[in-house]
Amino acid sequence: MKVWFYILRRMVSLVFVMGGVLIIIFVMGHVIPANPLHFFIGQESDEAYVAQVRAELHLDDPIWKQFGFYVSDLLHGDLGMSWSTRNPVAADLAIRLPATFELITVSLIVCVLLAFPLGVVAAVKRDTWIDHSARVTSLLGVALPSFWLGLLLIYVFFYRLRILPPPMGRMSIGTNIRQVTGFYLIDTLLAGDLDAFGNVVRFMVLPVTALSFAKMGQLTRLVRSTMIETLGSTYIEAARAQGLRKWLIHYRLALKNAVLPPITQIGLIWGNLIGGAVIVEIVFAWPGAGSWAVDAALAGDYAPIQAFAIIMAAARVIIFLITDILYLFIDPRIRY
Amino acid sequence: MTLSVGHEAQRVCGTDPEDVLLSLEDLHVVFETYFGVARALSGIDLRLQTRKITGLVGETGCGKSVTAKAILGLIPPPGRIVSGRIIFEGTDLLRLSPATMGSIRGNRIAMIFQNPRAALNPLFTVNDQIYFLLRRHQGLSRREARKRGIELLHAVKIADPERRINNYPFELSTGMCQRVMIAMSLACQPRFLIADEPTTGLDVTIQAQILELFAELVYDFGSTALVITHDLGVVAETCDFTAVMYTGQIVEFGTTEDVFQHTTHPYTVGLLASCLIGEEGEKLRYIRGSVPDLTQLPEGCTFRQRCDAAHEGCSENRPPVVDLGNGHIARCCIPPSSQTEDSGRDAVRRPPLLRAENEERMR
Amino acid sequence: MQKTPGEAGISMPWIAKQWKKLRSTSRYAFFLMRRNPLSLVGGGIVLFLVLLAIIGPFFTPYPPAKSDITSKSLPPSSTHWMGTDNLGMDIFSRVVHAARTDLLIALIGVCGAVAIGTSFGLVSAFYGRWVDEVMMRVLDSLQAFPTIILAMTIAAVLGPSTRNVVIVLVVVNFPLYARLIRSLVLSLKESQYIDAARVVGCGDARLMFRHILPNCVGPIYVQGSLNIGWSVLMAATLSFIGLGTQPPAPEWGVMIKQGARFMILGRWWMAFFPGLFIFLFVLASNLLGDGLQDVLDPKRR
Repeated sequence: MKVWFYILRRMVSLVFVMGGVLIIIFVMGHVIPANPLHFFIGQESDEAYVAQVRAELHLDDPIWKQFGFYVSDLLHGDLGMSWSTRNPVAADLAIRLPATFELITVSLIVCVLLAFPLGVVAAVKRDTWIDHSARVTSLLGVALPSFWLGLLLIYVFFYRLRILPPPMGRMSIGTNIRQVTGFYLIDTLLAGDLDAFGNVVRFMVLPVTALSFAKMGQLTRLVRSTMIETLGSTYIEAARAQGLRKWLIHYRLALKNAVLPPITQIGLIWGNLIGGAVIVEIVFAWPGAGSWAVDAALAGDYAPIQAFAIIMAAARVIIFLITDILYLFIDPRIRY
Repeated sequence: MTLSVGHEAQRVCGTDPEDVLLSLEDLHVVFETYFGVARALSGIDLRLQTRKITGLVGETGCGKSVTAKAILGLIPPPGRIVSGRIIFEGTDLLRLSPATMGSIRGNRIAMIFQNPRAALNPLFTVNDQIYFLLRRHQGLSRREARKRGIELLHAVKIADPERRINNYPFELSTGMCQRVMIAMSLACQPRFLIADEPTTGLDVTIQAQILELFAELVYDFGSTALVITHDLGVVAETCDFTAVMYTGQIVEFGTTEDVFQHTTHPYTVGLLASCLIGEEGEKLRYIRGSVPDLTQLPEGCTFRQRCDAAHEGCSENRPPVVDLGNGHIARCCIPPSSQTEDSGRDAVRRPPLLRAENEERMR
Repeated sequence: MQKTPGEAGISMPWIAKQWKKLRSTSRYAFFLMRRNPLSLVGGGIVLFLVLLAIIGPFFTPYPPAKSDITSKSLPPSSTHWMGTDNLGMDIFSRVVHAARTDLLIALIGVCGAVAIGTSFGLVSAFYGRWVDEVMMRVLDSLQAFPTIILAMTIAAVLGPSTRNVVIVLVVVNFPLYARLIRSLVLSLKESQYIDAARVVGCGDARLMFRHILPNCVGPIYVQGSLNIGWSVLMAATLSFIGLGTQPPAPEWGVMIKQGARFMILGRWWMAFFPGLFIFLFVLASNLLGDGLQDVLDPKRR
């Protein structure tokens, strides 16, 4: 019973947070600028068009009414028009979002698959070369600017070694992929096109490395410290006093306890990867929502940024909620 | 009347060497920290008689837990055993390989931990934890281990063991956790059992039950036990022998009766006095001063700065072991000139003394 | 560690006591830092970069914005230690000048964030219940955005400029300090010596400034030192995207942006050196912050 109350409470607070998010975005786009119209019409000087946009934005109405229209538009899926691409924002987003999500998700998987074993082994074999190199790598990783790392990777692997493709998007020009989910890794497999799959993978290597490296360092550190703490706990000592074998103690008894806290971090990391993805997309000319939003921002086109920010904030908050709820079910203690 | 350690001390501690299951001989354990080298055990000598319960008493920080861990070979770095021997059934445990030691732990020597809830893995059921133990030492299958587990839970008087065995530790009360701990420690029928503060952290009402259960099981299984505690009441209730520890050394040892009735060492005297309930209007008694820093232990007797009977001789050498008869010993350098007859209780206010009858034996 | 309630203002004995406290704290801090030599390395690098930022620009071999077409796109050499960019500007000089730009931006940004965050947190914690709830919801909503996206949005609205980068830094960072101060104040509020102060007649403002704030200084330092590195990174990131400092102003992010497109042509030095400095600074401030954290909370290892 307690569990359901908790979930309910969290959902309510989610509504409030999203409400705040909407207010913040609205204030930034419609209240702060001296002339918000500019953000939504760009270079247009056609009187009729300007008047039309004015009416659409209800700029002659009081602020709170504008906000009302804005929220109701959002709830109806109307995210406005992007004057720089001349498309509805929602349409542009639908095309660009999958690329971003694919990048983020693959990076997260790589991050987790590498960080957990590394952190656990570093803790078990503390103060050996494995431990030291893990710690050094994570320390460096956290400080490394992702765009700098991306550029260096391009220089080494593309320019010098010529083993990986240039930073020009998700696949070679001329490759045809039947789009089903928008996730090229899945789509190519669905179509049975292994060449295209390999091609997509090759284009993904560097961006994913650049994106996941920093977070991997963070996660490794966390896993390592949680594992060290667990290894020092009384029940592990008791297990040793019972003469149980080392691998059982480390990789079963301790591990189960140690991985729980970092798992909660995974949701957090996904949320942080969203931000990092924007930069990586720019460096690698990845056709995702991040680079699209930045292009719009540079042009002074506000509608795309507005939509992008809201969607990403929502995604982040929802992922956090899901992670929290999942944790409730994983830890048997809280279940009761 | 100075006695050297080793063979001599063995003779002193009462009876036949064959009756001693485990003995610690001049064990030194240090912890190397940034603030200096802390001497946790400075030459501890202890002999544990077979099939008897010995209590190890002392204040927090005197080295009781370190002793237990040393026996099991679980001293964590930065601690290390510098010198000494631990003879268990004729073998020096310190010479054994880690693999052999691993098969002894939990099997022939077992330990019960202080905080029972913390000592059980929160994410595994009681069944799982017993299974791991039994599989390791006896190669039992899941089914056999479960059957044996239910028997064990029954032996420690846990109601409805078939259901309880599937519980997680958080579903059990603290008292039940301690019973489970006891059950697991006896699972392989160890020859030697160490109980580190088995009743601390339990309700007073449960304490009595657990103690009784513990003593009963130890006798039933024919094991030898070492009970580590700071609670003199526990020792008085359950232990056949009592060893008093201070800054890593045994300062007094003997049968519980001897140590409590014919208290000799000033420290023990002070400990007992601080437990006594006085009369109305009397001040509470305590031992003045505090335990010295283990990185800077004083020369000679480590207790002399707090001792009312200290004299210059106390600061020169480590005090010798004095035989008081019947296996009762104390590590103290009382000059023979200050001996008078007295009963243990009154020794509180006066310098500690040797009993006249023992004095005769020594001459 | 705190002065007793009712003690009259600043006087000589008080100054003497503060000085003694400072000396013994620093000595203790150094002792603990020696145990963790990495943090000293971090501190050293930070110091070096700060000095570089302050004095460096006076000694650069070339003016930072001097474009010399004849020497464009040269790799590192003895005349141009870090090479030149595509407009012929010496990269080394620009990097040094950029140090000043970036560190200044980050410093002002963090200080602003600390000031605003502290006030926010104090008010929120002190006036409790309803005020607190609303203020915390505001922070929740602000922090719901992925940081870079929030930064981008603000920069897009205000327009790309160095000044606006500072504003972005303030807005993005102040929630950290607000929450930090709030939790510190909340826990201190319950402590008994605050009750004692009230009994003696301390007013709210006096209570806040004299008794609670001094306890918060330590954690602010730790958070601040970790934050400054990150803020440099954020400022550079914004400039790299194009929403921050604009070229040809010397700033590490701007330089990387200009050098980025030449990476695939093999002219690595243009983007490498500015990025290296960002990396060093962030690394150093992390090490320093970790070291400071050990000083304040030795339980961590």
